[in-house]
Amino acid sequence: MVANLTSTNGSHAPDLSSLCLSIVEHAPLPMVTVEGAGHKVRYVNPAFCRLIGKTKDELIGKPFPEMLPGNDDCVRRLDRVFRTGISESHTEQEHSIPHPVFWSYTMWPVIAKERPLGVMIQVTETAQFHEKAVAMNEALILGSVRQHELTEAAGLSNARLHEEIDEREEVEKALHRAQAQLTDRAGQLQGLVTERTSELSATNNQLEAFVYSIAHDLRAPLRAMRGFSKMLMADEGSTLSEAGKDYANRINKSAEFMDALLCDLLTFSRVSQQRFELTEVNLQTVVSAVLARLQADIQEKQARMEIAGPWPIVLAHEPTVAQVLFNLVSNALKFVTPGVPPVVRLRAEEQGEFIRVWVEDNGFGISPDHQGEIFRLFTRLDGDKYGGTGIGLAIVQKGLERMGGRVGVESIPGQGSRFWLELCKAPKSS
Amino acid sequence: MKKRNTILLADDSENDLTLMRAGFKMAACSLPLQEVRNGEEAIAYLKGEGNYADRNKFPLPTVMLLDLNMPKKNGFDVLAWVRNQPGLKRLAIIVLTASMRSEDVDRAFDLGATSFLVKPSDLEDLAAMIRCLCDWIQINRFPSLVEAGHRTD
Repeated sequence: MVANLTSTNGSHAPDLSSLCLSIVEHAPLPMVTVEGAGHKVRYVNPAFCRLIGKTKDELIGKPFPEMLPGNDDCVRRLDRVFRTGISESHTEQEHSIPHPVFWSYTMWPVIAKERPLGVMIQVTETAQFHEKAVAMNEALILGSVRQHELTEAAGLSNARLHEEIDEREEVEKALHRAQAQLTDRAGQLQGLVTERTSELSATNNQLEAFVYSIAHDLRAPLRAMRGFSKMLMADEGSTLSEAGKDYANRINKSAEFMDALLCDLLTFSRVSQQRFELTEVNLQTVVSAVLARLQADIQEKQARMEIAGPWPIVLAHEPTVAQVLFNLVSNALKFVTPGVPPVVRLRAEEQGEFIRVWVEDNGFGISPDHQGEIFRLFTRLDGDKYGGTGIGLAIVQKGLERMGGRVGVESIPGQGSRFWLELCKAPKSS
Repeated sequence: MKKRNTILLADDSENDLTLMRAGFKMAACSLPLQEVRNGEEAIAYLKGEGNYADRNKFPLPTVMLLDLNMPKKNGFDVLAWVRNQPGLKRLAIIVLTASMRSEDVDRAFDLGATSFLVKPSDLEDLAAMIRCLCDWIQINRFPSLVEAGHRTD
């Protein structure tokens, strides 16, 4: 590159030369122009001043080689450019300072009237140029190696990921299938349950209707039999023979017993099928109600009732527990040796999570052989001697079973019976 | 002149009607009894229609004893009908039935029954019940009933 430097004797178009000067003057690259074989400084730009750390006035007129102490190599090149008019570049390292600095020189001739007048020098300082370059190189190499490794690793892990994704998709599909099957099955089951429930409910309704029809339709003719046999004895008794009166009496008693059987069966059916939820029941209330219902019986038999409180709260269905207790106390009053006034003792005790209620009597007791069968439907140990239907204790057991309780008996023949029932204790109210 | 309290018995069972008459006799209750055999007859009687047009022979009852299970309109139908008649709606109606179903009890009271009694199986129990009923009629105050523009009390 050849620059037409505006000099004192330069007489080109002032516009262009002043423009060129301005470009060089304001360039961020340090530049200096030297003249003649002695390389005397003719011009420096502010960037060069900043680089050297001296003012323009300190530098103009001084020989350039003085500014490069011991740098013969550079001076030699400067001579060559001045002599030959061929530009040169040169980089060298300065070892005189702790951190080496690289100096890069670009020199080109200043031509005037077809012969070199001087040389233009552009100087660039590059700190740690080489090391940085080497380090950068190494970094680049390392970087590319690392990149390669990373690419490979990424490829591998990508492949694994794909495999995993595939696997997961498979699992998900299988899960969806299983879920769909489950939903299907659940739907089928739900349908089946609904169907069965409605079937059961229909059956239950039929059963209830049947029971009602037993109550209504069977009891109506019984009522007539009982009523008319009574009327026969009362109104026509005077015209009847003793045998006739006896027959009428037998009809009446049989109809009465059948009515009792029917009533007990209805109760058993109600206790077995009635839907109820367990609630807190105060046994004190139940015991009082049962005794009130049996008051006439108690008075008639001159029974002694020993009621030992306190009575706790249990989890039960009040009408059912009342029915159960009624049957037990009524039995205690019934199965006594004729002529002996009944003594019935009622008490409650805690048994862990349960409340045990004892109904103890002074009756003739039950032999151990029969203690297991008395809770079965239609079991009557003493025939029709005491007018039992054989349903009372079956109602007791069914009722307790429905309330999550238990029933049992301890008895020595001739020394009375001790019936017990267990019901869940009500949770402590907060 | 004050009319005697008539009791209207609505029941399809010939046996039960006979037993009721015996029960009234045993209870020494001399209140006049009228009988109808089904729901339709009960309504005709209360309306004073057909065979029951003669109010001297078939006076409006003070109390109706109503069976539930009857042919041609059952007891519930009769209850519902009476409670919708402006002149008759206050009539004292005692359900007397073999049913012990609590659903029937609830439904009868929902329809405006005055009382609900279950037919006793024992004749003496029936007589005792009738004695109670007669005593209750003696001490009770009954509302006025109006039919076809006539005031009867």
